[in-house]
Amino acid sequence: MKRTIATIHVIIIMIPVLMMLALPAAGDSPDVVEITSNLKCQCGCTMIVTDCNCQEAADIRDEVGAMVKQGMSSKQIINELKSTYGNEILATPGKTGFDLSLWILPGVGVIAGGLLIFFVLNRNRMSEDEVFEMEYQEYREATGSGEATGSGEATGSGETTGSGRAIGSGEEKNWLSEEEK
Amino acid sequence: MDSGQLSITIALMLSVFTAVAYTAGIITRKEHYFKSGTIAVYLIAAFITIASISLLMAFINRDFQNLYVAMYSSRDLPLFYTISAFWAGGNGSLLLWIWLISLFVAILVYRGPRDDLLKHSVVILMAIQTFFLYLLVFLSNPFNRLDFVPPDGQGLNPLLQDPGMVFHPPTLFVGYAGFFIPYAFAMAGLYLGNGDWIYRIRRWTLFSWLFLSLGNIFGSYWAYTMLNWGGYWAWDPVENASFMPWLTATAFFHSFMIQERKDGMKVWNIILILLTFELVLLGTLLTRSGIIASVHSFGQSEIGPYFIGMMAAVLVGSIGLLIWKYESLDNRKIYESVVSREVSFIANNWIFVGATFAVIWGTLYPIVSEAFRGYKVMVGPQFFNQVNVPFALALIILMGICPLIGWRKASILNLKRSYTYPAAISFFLTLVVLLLGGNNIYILILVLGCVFATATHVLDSARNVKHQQKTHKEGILHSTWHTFRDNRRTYGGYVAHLGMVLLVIGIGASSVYSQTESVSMHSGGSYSVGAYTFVMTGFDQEQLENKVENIVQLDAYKNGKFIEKITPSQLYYPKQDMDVVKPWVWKRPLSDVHFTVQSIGSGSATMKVKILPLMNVLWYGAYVVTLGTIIAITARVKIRRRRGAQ
Repeated sequence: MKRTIATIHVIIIMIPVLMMLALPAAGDSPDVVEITSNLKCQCGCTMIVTDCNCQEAADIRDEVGAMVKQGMSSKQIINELKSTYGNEILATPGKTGFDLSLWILPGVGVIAGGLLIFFVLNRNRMSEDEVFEMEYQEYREATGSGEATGSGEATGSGETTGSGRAIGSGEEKNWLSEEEK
Repeated sequence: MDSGQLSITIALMLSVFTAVAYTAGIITRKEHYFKSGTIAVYLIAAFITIASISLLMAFINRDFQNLYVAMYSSRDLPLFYTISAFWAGGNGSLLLWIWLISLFVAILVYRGPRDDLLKHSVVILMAIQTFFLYLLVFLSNPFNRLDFVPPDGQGLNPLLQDPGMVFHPPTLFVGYAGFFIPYAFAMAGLYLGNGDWIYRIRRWTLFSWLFLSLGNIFGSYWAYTMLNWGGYWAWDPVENASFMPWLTATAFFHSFMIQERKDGMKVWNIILILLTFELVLLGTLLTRSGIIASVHSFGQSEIGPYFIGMMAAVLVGSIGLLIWKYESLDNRKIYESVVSREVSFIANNWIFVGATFAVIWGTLYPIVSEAFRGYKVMVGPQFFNQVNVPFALALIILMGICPLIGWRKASILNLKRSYTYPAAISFFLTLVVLLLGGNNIYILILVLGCVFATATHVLDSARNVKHQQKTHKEGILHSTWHTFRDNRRTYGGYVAHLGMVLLVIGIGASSVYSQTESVSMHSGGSYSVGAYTFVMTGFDQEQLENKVENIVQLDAYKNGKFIEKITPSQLYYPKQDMDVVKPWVWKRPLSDVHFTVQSIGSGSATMKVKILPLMNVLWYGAYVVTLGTIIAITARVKIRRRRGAQ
C-alpha cells in the first residue's frame, strides 16, 4: 500500500513534466480561432488576433478563414502567414531552433529541481537516533515537562491526522532524565 | 515649494534619520535613539499622508500646473475617476506605494513588541523606504510643476475610467507593500539568529497575499467586463508580474508550517521570502521600465536601472547574509519517510516554484531573444497555458492528498482510512463526466483532482466534528461550530482550498468550452445559441459627461420568452479622440454571454459573441478564497521552541 501511495506521489509530481513535454502537433482539421489565437496582432497593441478588434486583426482573421476554406492544414497556414508577415506574426514562438529553449527549459528546470530535492532529502534523512530524540522532545512538550513552548497564545492547530505512534514510554523517560542530570 | 513636495522631501530626510537612529541604538544600546527613531517613523507616515492628500486635492481642484495632474485628468472627468487618477500614472502609483509602506511600518512599530527583531527590521525597512523616497523625490516626482497653467488636462485613459480600475491598483499595492515586512523580518531574524521572525510575519504574509490575490481578481474582473477580448487573464508581462510573487508567497505559507512544526526548512523559507520580495521588485521593474511590451506599462521611465541595482543589491546582500549565518540556523532534519505530510508539502513547494520559474522564463524570454538574436519575440498565452495547466492540475491533486496524510510517516491504516472513499468518489464522478461526453483530458484530470480534494477536505472536517461530538458530548451544530471556531487556521485553509477548487473549475470550463463567433446582424435580425435567441431591436446614442455612447440594442429570449435587454456599446471620447468598446456581459447561472461591438454600420452591427461556461463559479471561488484567508488570519499561532533553540 505504501509503495502504491509513493508511486502515486511520483506520478502526481511527474504530471507537469510529462504534460509539458507532450507538445501537441498541429491538428488535422484547422480551426480559425485556434490558429488566430497564436497570432500577434500587427497594430502594435500586444494582443492576439482572436481578441483584437482592430481592422488589421479582422483582415488576418479573414485571411486565415479563406485559407481554411481552401483546405490548407494548420502548418501550411502558419507557414504562409510567416512568409507574408515574418516570424513576428507568431504570438508564441515555435518549437524549433533557438526557440525550442523556451519550451524545454521549464521542464528541464522542474526535473533539475526535483533531482536536487531528492538529493537533499536523501542526505538529510533522519537517523533512528534523531527520530528518537524528536519523539522525546514531543513527549516533553506534550507532558509539559520542559521549556518547550513560548508565548502561550491560544492555538488553533487541531490536527488529528498525525502518524499515531506511541511515544515516551516510562523507560525512555527515565533514560532521558538520567541524561538531564 | 508646495506642501506635497515639501512633505516628501522631509519624509526622505526622516527616513535616513530613522535608519541612522535605529542603527545607533542597536550599536550603543541607548534607548533614546530608538525613541527618536520611533517618533520619526510616525512622522514619515504623517508627512507622506500629507503629500498624498496634497496630490489628491491637486486633482480635485484641477491644478493643471501640476504636470502629473495635467497628464492624467481633465475638467470633464467625473469626480470618482478624478480621485482614481491619483494612481493612473507611474509617479502617483509610487507615492501610493510609499504611503502604504510608511503606514505599515508605523503600525508595526506601534503594535510592537519593540524587541531586537523589530528594531533590526525597521533598519532594513527604512533602507528600502529611503530608496523609494529617493526615486519619488528625484526621478518620479508627482509634484513637478509647469511654468505655465494649461487651460485643461490631457484626461484619463478611457480604459481606466471604470470602477474596476479604482480598486485594482490599490489592492495590488497593498499586497506589494505588505511583502516588504516579511522580507525585513526574515533578514533581521537571520542576522540575529532569532527564529521567531516566522511567527511575527504570518499575519502580514497572509494579509499581503490576500490583497495580492484580490488585486489580481479585481484586475481580471476589470479586463473581463471592460476590455473587448472577452477574457480575464492574458498572461501579459505585467499580469505575470503580480502572479509570480503570489506563487512564491503561496509556497511560503505552506512551508511555513514545516518550520513551525518541525523546525526545519529554515533556509528554504528565507529563500522563498527573498524570492517573493525580489519578484515584487521585478514586477515594478517590468511595469515601469517598458523593457517588455505590455498593455499595462507606464512606458519608458528613468527608474528602470535603479530597480535593477536595487534587485541586485538585495540579492547579493541577502544571499551573503544567508551564507554567513548558515551554520547558526540550526536547521533540523524533517524527512523520515516519503509517504508523509512533510514530503507532500515539499512537493507542493516544488510545483509552486517550478510554475514561478516557468512564468519568469516566459516573461523574460523576449529580452533573452533580443540579447542573443537581436530581436524581441512575443510569448503569448499558448506557452503559459501549456506550461501552467499541468502545474495547476498537479497542485489540485496534491491539495487532496496533503490534509489527510500523516506527519512524519503515514501508516497503512492512515492511508486506507483517508483515501479510499475520496479516491472512489473522484474516479466514479470522472467516469460519469467521461460518459456524459467530457472527453478533454485536462477536464477529466481537473474533475478527478477537484472531487478528490473536496472529498478529502469534507471527510477530514466530518471526522473532526465527530471526534468533538464524541469527546465533548455535544450536538452536531455545537460540535461543528466549536471545531471550526477552535481550529480557525486549519479550516480557514480548508475554505481557501475549496475556493481554489471552485476557481480552477471556473477557469477550466471557461477556457476549454468557450465558444467565439463573429455575428453580423441587421435591425430585426436574430442570432440563436442553445436555448437563447437574441433579436436586434435597434440603435441608440447617448451624450454623457465626457463621452458619446453608441448602443446596440438586443432583446434576449429563452425558449421564446423575453428575459432581458442587452446593450453592448462603443464609446467615443472626444477629448482623447479615442473609441473604446464597452462589452455587455450577460451573466447567467451556468454560462456568461459576452457581447462586444466590432463595428456599427447603417442599420447593422457586427459583434463578437463569446460564450464562457461557469464564469460565476470562478468569481464565487475568489470570494471563498478571500473568506478562507480572512478566517485563517484571525487565528493565533502557538510559538513552539525547541529546547536550546532561540
